[in-house]
Amino acid sequence: MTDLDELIQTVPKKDGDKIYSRFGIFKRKGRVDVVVHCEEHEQDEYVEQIAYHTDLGWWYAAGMHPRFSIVGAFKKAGQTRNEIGFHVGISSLGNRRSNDSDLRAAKAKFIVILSESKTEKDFLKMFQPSLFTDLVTPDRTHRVTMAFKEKYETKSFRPDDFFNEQSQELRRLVVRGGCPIKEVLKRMKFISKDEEGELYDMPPEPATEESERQPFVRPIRIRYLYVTCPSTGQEYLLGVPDRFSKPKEARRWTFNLPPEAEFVKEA
Amino acid sequence: MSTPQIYRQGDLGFIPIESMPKSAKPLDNRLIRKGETGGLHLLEEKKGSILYEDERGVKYVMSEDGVGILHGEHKRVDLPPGQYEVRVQRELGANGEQDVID
Repeated sequence: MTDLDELIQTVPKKDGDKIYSRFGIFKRKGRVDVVVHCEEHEQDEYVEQIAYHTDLGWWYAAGMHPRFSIVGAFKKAGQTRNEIGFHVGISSLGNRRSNDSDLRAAKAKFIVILSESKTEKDFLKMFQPSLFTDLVTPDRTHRVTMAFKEKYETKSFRPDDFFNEQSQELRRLVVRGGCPIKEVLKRMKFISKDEEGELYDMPPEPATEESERQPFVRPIRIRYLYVTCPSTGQEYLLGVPDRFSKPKEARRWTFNLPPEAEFVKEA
Repeated sequence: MSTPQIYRQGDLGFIPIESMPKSAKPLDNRLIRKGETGGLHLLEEKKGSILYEDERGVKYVMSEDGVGILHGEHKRVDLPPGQYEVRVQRELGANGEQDVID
């Protein structure tokens, strides 16, 4: 008997009886079950309560009989509990996906993948680009998606990756990972330029349900300072407070220096 | 007050100071900072030049005759004699300020 066989049992039909206590709680054989209607098998089934609410319930939501443990599959792929919640669309993760419409979209996408998965292997293969993994850089380890890691390692980021990335930490990796900064700058709003660099703003975001419900909540606005290192030629896009209107002032801020400080030697 | 004269190598600023905090202790190595790409900012090995670190992890350079700051990718920066605070460049993220990673 598989693990799922232990967690799910068919509700025996009695003549003339029909169970209408869906999601009702039943204490059976020393455990607590819920009754769920399985659309695929066209029958009612007892499902162990915790397993239903934390794992198997998604199958029934997709109109299918469970084929494998979803949580088990994600754990095999090295996903943490928080990451599993993120994948199934019930929670955000840090500053990734923090509004209701994003969560709804994530749930819908998850159900579609589930409905197209015949086996655990299929499921993980389809989910693979979104699974989280460690990206080790000399300075620290970042937790990123497999798709992000691949782009970083092949230096193949594009400007869309920069603008779609909500994490400033990961935006820095996008810039390091081959994203052509000049193309990013073309899509940004130019503020000013001087001998030390250029200032840009992100393009204005479209209004969302959340922003319309909370018009007085001002998110942190990050302005971008574009500078080029004189010795390596490396280009940088540094986040600075949006109160600065001149690159020179913003650059002093990045070193916590007074406006009148002078750089006498730079490399 | 005179205008602060700053020396910069990559994401590190070297700020001239009058004196170091009392908690600053000399280090027995010359590694100032390691960058994201693996490049190391190193204090030139020179008599009379010492790297210090205080209780907050801030580093300082003390040099009697001047010293070079070395890096595999950035050009060498020569500091005149004196004491310097090593300041890491910062930027603003969605969660507040954070150090720039060179």
